[in-house]
Amino acid sequence: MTLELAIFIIVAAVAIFSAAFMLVSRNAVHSALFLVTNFLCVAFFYLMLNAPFLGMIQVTVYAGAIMVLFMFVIMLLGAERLRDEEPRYPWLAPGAVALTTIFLVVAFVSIVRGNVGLLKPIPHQPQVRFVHAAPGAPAVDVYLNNEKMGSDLAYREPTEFTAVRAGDYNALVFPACTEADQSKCPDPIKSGTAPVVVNSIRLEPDTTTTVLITSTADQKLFLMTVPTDMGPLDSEDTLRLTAVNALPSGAPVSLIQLDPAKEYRADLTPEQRGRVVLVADLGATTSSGVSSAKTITLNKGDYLLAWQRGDERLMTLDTLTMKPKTHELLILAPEMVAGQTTPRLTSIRLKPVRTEEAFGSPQQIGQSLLSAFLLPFELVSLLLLVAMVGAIILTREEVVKRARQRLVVSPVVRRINRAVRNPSAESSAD
Amino acid sequence: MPAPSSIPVEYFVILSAVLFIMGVLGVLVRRNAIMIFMSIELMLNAANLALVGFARQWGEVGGQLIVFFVITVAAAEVAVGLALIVAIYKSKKTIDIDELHALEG
Repeated sequence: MTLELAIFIIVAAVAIFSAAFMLVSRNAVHSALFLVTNFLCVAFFYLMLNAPFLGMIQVTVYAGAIMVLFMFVIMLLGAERLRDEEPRYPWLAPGAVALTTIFLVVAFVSIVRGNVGLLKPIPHQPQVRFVHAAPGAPAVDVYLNNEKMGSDLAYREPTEFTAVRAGDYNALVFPACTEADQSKCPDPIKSGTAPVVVNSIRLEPDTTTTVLITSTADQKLFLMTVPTDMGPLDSEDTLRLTAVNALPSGAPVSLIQLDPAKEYRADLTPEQRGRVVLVADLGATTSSGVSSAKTITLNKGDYLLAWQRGDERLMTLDTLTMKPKTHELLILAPEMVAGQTTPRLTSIRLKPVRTEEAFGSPQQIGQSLLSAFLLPFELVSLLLLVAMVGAIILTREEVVKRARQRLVVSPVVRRINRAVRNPSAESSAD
Repeated sequence: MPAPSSIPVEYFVILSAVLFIMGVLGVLVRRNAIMIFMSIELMLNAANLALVGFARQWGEVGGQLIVFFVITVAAAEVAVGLALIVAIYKSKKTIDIDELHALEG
């Protein structure tokens, strides 16, 4: 019996009892108040079920607006003063209770034996993008099995994230075709050209992967998969940073954060300069045992970063502004400069990608409402407008009297009019 | 994807069924039109609770969006329905549904 289960049982009991009291109460105002209690219990359940936005909507709209409207009408009609009377059909209440009990038993049995709890979350398709991080290699086209994922990818360029089916793929990299009109490019798979590099990649559902096209020391290309987690972050002010070492050889490097106030003062020793090691020990791509990519969580803000190997400063980056709820990717890669044979170092920073919103949060619901569910949203707004207009028209008093107009009146209408002119002294009650 | 909860989804669905049954009872037994309306709202809430429970189980935010639209449509329905009840009361001076059978002629 965990605390969560105990709270659930208490709130469920309150909900059921308030619904029962609502049903048997003679006073309509009391019934409405019991129903408000029931709605508040349901709103609490929404909070337990990772639906905070719906919980607040339930309190605001259902308990706060709809029940207030009920109260207005109950007061207007004087329904709370309605008296008790003999039911017209005495078999109605026992019959209804019997039928609903049978239904409840059937529902209970089918829910318990239907194994609804075994249903697992639907896995989302894996997302993948490619980055060209190999110096000296020309612009490339990337194919996954037979599908073109990126065309004319130059050095430092990434593709966008694309969703593909989960499974094993052959990732093929071909030299980019340089036709001005992309549709005139021959299909390299069909024409049988040899790819520059082929690697098999396995893509699992619910993952997001960045594949780097990097090279070894002797200019052979290969593909490096870096998992980039786009899941929701716990806090609104943090972001994820993945640092990748794409150098083909050398000792492990680290990414450190420098304190701009202290870094360039000559009177401080290196230990006093307030450096923080963000990511330590990223091995070269060919070294086994030491991973080349690591992900950390940072707070938002401005960062002065540097790549360092041991005590040797490899390069210092310009000040980066890191925005919250994004995923940044920093790659330390070699770069070929025209006219030189040995590569120099460069740091590739990809455009930060926004991480996903938390489940059931207002941001996620807002995103869905304004993208995939925009049409139902607008239609429901129109429906509310029509309902407002209809309510006004239905309760309008007939002000205009048609004077001296003889209308043909049917006997039924005459009978109703006679009954209306003599309203019954008693009003009926439940 | 929300973290797994210690409360299985069956509990929420059974609670939803119980509340729904009570709403059905209210619609069948009560004679005051406003009470019938309130029982209909109870039934709608029960269905919403089941929807949100399954949305969490499957990690699908679409279930919560359906509930959002159900709440909105229920609000529109209550507005029009209560306006109808007020109009009926003005002409018939009663809202006992056993008396409101004039349409049968």
